[in-house]
Amino acid sequence: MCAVCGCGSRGEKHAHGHDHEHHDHAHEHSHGHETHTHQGDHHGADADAESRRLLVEAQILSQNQRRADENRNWLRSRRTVALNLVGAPGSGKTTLLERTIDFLFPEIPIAVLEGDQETEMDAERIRELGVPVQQINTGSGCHLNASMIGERLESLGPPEGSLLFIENVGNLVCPALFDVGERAKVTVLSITEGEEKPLKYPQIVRASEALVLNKIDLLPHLDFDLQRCLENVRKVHPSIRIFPASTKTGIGLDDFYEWLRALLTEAGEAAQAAEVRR
Amino acid sequence: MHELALVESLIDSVEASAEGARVRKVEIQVGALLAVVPDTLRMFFSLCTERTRMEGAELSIEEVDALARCRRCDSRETFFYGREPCPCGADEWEIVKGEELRLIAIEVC
Repeated sequence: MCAVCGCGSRGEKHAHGHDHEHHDHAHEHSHGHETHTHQGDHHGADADAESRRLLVEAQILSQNQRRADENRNWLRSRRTVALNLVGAPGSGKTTLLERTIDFLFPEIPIAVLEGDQETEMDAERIRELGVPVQQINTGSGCHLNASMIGERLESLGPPEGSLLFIENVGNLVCPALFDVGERAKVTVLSITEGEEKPLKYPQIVRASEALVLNKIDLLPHLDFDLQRCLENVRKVHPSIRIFPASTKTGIGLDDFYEWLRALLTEAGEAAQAAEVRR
Repeated sequence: MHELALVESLIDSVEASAEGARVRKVEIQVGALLAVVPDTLRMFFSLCTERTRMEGAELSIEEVDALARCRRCDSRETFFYGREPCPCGADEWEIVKGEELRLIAIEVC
């Protein structure tokens, strides 16, 4: 059976095929989402007379990328800044959201999409604070993808000029590969995880524009080398913004809030510039 | 487990390109930096293509070694996260290879 759409019989035509863009030019496509097929003249060495080798040259995740770009355009048109919060289970992603909502809402409109394998627990925590929230349960899935977000944007309805927080499934590996249409990924790393985590799970740090180094109020109780951890983060991603903070006490979060405000300003200016061009 | 999602997406792309033909081989490139396990890809590919036009097709995986360019002296060096600085002393790398996730070609009959 096809894992994508569930169809079972041979030769069954899938209704969810891609648009094929045929290009005549020769440059290499390193970006997103073209699928262009050159047919006929590429024969594999071990192919018999009847088999043909078709050169495809496409990103494996092109379908997700297309959907993510659609989400991004939708969000941009509403001047909404979406942040994809990633990090290990228990690193403090939901607590960071609670703190941020507590501080910025309702001055800044906020909406939340909560991703977890099971339960509505996180959505309930956020709902109590009065912001629109939807829970996405991924079941056996270990990350959120762009369709899961796209399906919920209209019904969630983040207000114009809002911050949309997308809390990903607690996981340091898979979410790094999947763009969901966010303005930026933000890694939440807690010092109880150890200072070598950025080197052990580098791709998530590399994919993030900012990192909240959480639970620094526990520093006196742990053998944690803060300097070494910061070095490790920068080794993987030299230009990343790092916010050492505690979501429990609130210390260090002012800079994070300032960054959020700056992102909203930037989104507003970009939307204005786009209107002027039109 | 992101391998399952990758395989689902791959199968979709292959089906679109094969346009109903029987697929015998699928060639992909996977960069060494992405924490994607080739054996796991093959296992899911085999499971997910059962009773489709792709059943029994070979999944040929080219693992692309990571290579980075030193931003100061421009030399190209083998790369892994946490590696020692460049022989020139700089420790600023631009990754050139190792993050590929591409469907290269398919063989149909």
